Order: sequence, then structure tokens, then C-alpha cells
Amino acid sequence: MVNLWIALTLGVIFIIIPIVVMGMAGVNMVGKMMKGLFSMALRVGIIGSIVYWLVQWDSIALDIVFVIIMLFYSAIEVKVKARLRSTSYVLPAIAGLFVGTMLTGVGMSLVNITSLGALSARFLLPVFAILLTGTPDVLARALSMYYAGLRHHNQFYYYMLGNGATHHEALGYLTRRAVQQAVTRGISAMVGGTSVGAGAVMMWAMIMGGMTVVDAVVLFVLLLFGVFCSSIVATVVAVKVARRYSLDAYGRMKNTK
Amino acid sequence: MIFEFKNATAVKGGETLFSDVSFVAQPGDAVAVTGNTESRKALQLAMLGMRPLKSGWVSIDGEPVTATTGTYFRQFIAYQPDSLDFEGLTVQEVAKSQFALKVNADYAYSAKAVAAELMRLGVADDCMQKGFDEMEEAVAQRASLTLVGMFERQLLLLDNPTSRQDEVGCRLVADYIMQKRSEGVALIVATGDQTLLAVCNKRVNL
Repeated sequence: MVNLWIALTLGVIFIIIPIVVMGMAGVNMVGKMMKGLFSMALRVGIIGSIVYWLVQWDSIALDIVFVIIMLFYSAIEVKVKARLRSTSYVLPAIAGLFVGTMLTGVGMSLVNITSLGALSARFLLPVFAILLTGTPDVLARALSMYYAGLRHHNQFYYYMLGNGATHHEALGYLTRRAVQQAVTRGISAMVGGTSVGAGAVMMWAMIMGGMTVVDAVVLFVLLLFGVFCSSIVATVVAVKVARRYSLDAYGRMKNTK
Repeated sequence: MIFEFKNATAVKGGETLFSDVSFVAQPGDAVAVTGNTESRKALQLAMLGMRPLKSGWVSIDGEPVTATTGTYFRQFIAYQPDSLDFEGLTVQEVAKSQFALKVNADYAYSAKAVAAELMRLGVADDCMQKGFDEMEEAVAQRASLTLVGMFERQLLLLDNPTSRQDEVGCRLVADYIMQKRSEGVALIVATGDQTLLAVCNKRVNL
């Protein structure tokens, strides 16, 4: 159990030290920092409250509803990060995220199935939260590349189409580029996950939660693989669905931005 | 196969690209399409079923070419666009992509055979490993013409195939058109080039 008073005191000290350093160095960014702190506190407060009640109720139905809400939020995040204006771009992202995260999330749940703990909020929520924070970043980059290719470098597409390719074949080149981008970003995220920051915190949390070091390592590596797999699956599905919304009946690029 | 435009009119944003165009391209015909660049391109895309017409129709053997039937009819057509911005793809990569298409399932890729075809239009075999943007524009344009013409198709649509050619290049392309005509291939060539106009037996001014 965390000692709240010590935690609170440490938190205040950890904030005061940078403020003192900023003051000594003449860096006037306290306002910006406070704004950031407020935004962080608000997010953590909202998510913390929701997770607290979900864990208290421990209802699979409510967990699923929460995961679906997170999924929609992540899809909007993908649209924003990929700088796509039209709302029609959200649907491919939702489809990709749904298939990618469900496939890997359900698979991950099997790890703990022997104790039936896999179906509890304690296990389900963190797994889907990790998948839904890791996957959108990769998906956004992959979709951004795909749509940029469609808009600005579509001559090869028309060339292939004009020489007998089906739409699926003509888009193969752009799909391949999007998947390449997803793999590159996914590998980078996987390597980044083992760095001091996120990886150490996750391992620490799992060990603090009572796991053995070996179990924590296994689960951590599995999560990294899961996010990687989810990202690739999400990209392939999103690109397939995107075709429907980016081409008109004549196979021409729709004028959406 | 007989390729026909009948009273075809196309518009773009209220502007008429071509109006009441009618012609027939039979095997061995080379139809030169003259007029402004956008109109010529629109006509070729309509032939491919990749662009709607405002009125009239385009047909192949009497069957209308539409958004729905276009996919089927494109297996009989080869198309060389004017612009070749293929983002660094090499000649070999483009060739392999074409050989990989279902419609070309009867053809097996052979680097030697492709290189030999390229030589016919004066493209050296070392260009196989070069990107279209790495070569001289004239060479890149002839390389694309080679790739487009490698597969046996009933109709060749060429969009300004000599736009980057010098006199020698124009002659090579004109000879290539003559050879295709002798093989019974129909061609619709968007051009204003006198050398090419001389080897076409029909002319349509948009």
C-alpha cells in the first residue's frame, strides 16, 4: 500500500525542484508548466475515477463499454495525428483499431485465463489501454503515408489501373508502403518500449502488484509484441476499409482532404 | 475488337472538354487525337472507363464502357500516361509489378526479355536498375512505352508519347506505332507531333 502522505510530499518536492531550477536559470516557463500539470491532473483524475469504479464494479459488460469508448477516442486521435480533415477517415481507423486490438487483446487475455482473472477489470483494462495507446500512433503514421500517397503520388496507381490492374492490385503499392511505415514505426516503438521510461515503469508496476520478475518480464515482452501485432493488423484493415471511402465509382481519388 | 466513341461529350466543372466526338478505332488503326492536353487525357480516361461522359457513349465491340464494365475492358487495353512520377520506382520494379497482375498471368517475367524489348526503343539494359526519375526524361518515356507495349493488348492508349523526345526519339516512337499497327493493334494517340500524325491513319480534333 502506498503511503499517501509521503507520496504527496514527494510529489510537491518533485515539482518544487524544477521550479527552483527554472528560477535560478532565468527560465520563465512556470505558467506553461502549471498549465501542463493541470491538464495532466484533469486527465489522470477522470481516467483514475473511471478505472476506480470499473474495478469496484468488476463487470465485463462495463469494461467492454469502456474499451469501446477508448477505441472511438483513439480513432479520433488517429485522424488528428494523421492530419486528416474529413470525418470519413475515422471509420477506417475505427475498423483497424477494432480488429487489431480485439485480436491481440483477446489473445492476451488467454495468458491469465487459468485463474479467470483474465476477464476481470484488473487485467482487461490495462491490456486494452496499452494496446489502444500504442496502436494509434503507428496507425496514424501509416495512414498518413497512405493518404499522402493517394493525394500526391497517385500516378503509378492510375498507370497500373490503365494497364489492367484491379483497384486492389493498383493500390497494392500504396498499401505496401503503409505497411512498411507501420512495421518501421512498430519496431521503433517496440525498441522504445524497452527503454528506461515506459518499460521500467510498467515492470515496476507489475512487480509491485505482486508478480514475480520472470512473470513481469514475460508479460511485458508479450505486451510489446501485442502492440506491434495490433499496429500491423490495424494498418492492413484500415487501409482496406479506407479504399471504400477514398475512391469514387470510376476508381478515381475522391477530392477529400 | 472495335473501339468506338459516339457523340461523346465530357465536361469538367462547367467547362466542356470535348463535345459530340465520334470515331471508330479498328484493329490496325492509329487514331491521332489533337486538341488541348486536358481534353485529350479526358478522352483516354473515358475509353478506360475511368471517367464519366456527360452524354454519348464509348463502347468496345458494341458494349458500353462504364465505371462497372471498365475493370473488365481494361484487360484489353494498355495505357501510357504523359506523366511518369513513379516515386523512384525502377524500370525493373514497374515491370515486375505489371507481370504480377492477374491479367498478365500468362506472361512470365524475364529480365533478359524485358531488356531486349527496351533495346528496341533505344533504351540501354542498364536502365533496368534505374528509377524513372533518374533517367533522362526522353529515355524514361521510351522505357514506359516499352513496358506498356510488352503485353498483347487490343488497344494502346498513348498520351503524348513524344512530349520529351528529340527528333531521333520521335522517329523511334513513330516506328513503334507503325509496328503495332502492322500487328493489328488499334491505337489512340493523343499528340500534336507531326511525325506521329504522319503515321496515324485517322485524326480527331477535340
